[in-house]
Amino acid sequence: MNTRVQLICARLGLIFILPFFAAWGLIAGMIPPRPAPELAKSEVAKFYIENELGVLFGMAILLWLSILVAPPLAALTLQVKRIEGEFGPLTLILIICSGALIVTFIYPELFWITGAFRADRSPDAIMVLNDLGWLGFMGVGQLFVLIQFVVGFGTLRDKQQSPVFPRWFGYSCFGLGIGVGFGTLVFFFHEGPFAWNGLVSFWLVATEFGIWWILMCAMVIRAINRQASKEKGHDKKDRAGYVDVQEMSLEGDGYREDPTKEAASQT
Amino acid sequence: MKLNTEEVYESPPGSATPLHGAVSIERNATSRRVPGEPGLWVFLFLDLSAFSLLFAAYVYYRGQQPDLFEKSQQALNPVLGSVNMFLLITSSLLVAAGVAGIKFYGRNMERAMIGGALACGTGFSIIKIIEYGQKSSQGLTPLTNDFFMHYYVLTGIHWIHLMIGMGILIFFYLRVRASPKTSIGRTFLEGGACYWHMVDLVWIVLFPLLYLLK
Repeated sequence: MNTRVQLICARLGLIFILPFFAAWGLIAGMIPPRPAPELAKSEVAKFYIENELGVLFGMAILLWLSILVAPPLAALTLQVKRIEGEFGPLTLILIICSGALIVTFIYPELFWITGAFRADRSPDAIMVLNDLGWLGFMGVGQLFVLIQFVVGFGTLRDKQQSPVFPRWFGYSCFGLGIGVGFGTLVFFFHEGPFAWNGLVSFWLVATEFGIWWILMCAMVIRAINRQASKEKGHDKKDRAGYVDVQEMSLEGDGYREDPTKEAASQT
Repeated sequence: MKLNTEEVYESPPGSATPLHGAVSIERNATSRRVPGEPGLWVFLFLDLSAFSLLFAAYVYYRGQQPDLFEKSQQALNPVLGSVNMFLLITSSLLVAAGVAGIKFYGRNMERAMIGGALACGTGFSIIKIIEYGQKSSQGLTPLTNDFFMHYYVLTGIHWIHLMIGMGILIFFYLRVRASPKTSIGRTFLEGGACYWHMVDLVWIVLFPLLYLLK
């Protein structure tokens, strides 16, 4: 249903990823991850004082970019719904997790921007805000992993003649999900590879997040295009991107009867 | 190498032993194909890459503080580690035999093999609990020093993988009936077996790296 708008949604995902890392890394100046977890609170405060404007701008941009996570996840959910054939449990889990996921992006960004908002605050307070930001961003990836696993699980269970997603993509969801899962280690260590600036808990996690995100958007676009070519000619309304709200229901895949038949039956 | 015959045990002609013809292996498809399915190996590659990164990190940090690492390593018990190694290798053999359709006197042993592998995995877990318990009672935790950080994280992540593998094996055990036809697809069965082999492989690298490398 509505493949045109779905395509826009999925492509927004590809548009989102580069500005996301650019705003975080270049504008806010926080990649490589700074301030590091092992720093003293005076040095943490110094970072926020020196990078005040960068953090304010970078995080403000990031807050807006974070909502761009919703459209691609919506398109993903609709494609998973094609696997289940209805609003089944997997589809619903994705809906639940996608909404919550955006919040888990927004709050760490809010903490960071609050740190820069009054950078002359006591260093204790700045450190707490910095910790909340980093631990929240790197350590709270559980929803993302669940999304990945649900998509992987659904893909591997897809028994249709031409599956929505290729099987290797399903397996890669699990493989990349494990990588993102390493983020949980940030709570335990202040330095080394498993801290929030570490080789594993930052670089591996961020890389596998980025790879999966781009891969997922590409796979969703591919699936939408195949869906569109299957439905071509069935419903002219579809190609125009028109949705009749009254005819939408929670059952079925939104495939509507040919409107000319409806009109004919009413005369 | 393709087994044409049903029996893997052949006694010399003229001698009949009680075990003659006891053990046999079914050969199903004879076409060349990837074990499990091609996509599975994407997952295995990704997981092994993650572990390789952890190994590389360990070797790097070990190079930075060789004395600390060597001294801390002495707190580890290589005997327990070796027993774990033996348990996992055995379990891999059992899983492989089970998936290959091994029969004992014509009876399908798939379930028994998987059960045996589960027992080995349970043994591994018990030993792991003993090891961790011993160390924490000595005050050695992941926060003690860099060596123990790596030790706990590496063995912990591996153990989590093992427990996931055991979950898969439990699922197989419950679904496989003691009959020639299993109720699990070939692909899934082989895939689960390959995952288990991967867990075994990781320990084969992990054990010498952490316990033995000086």
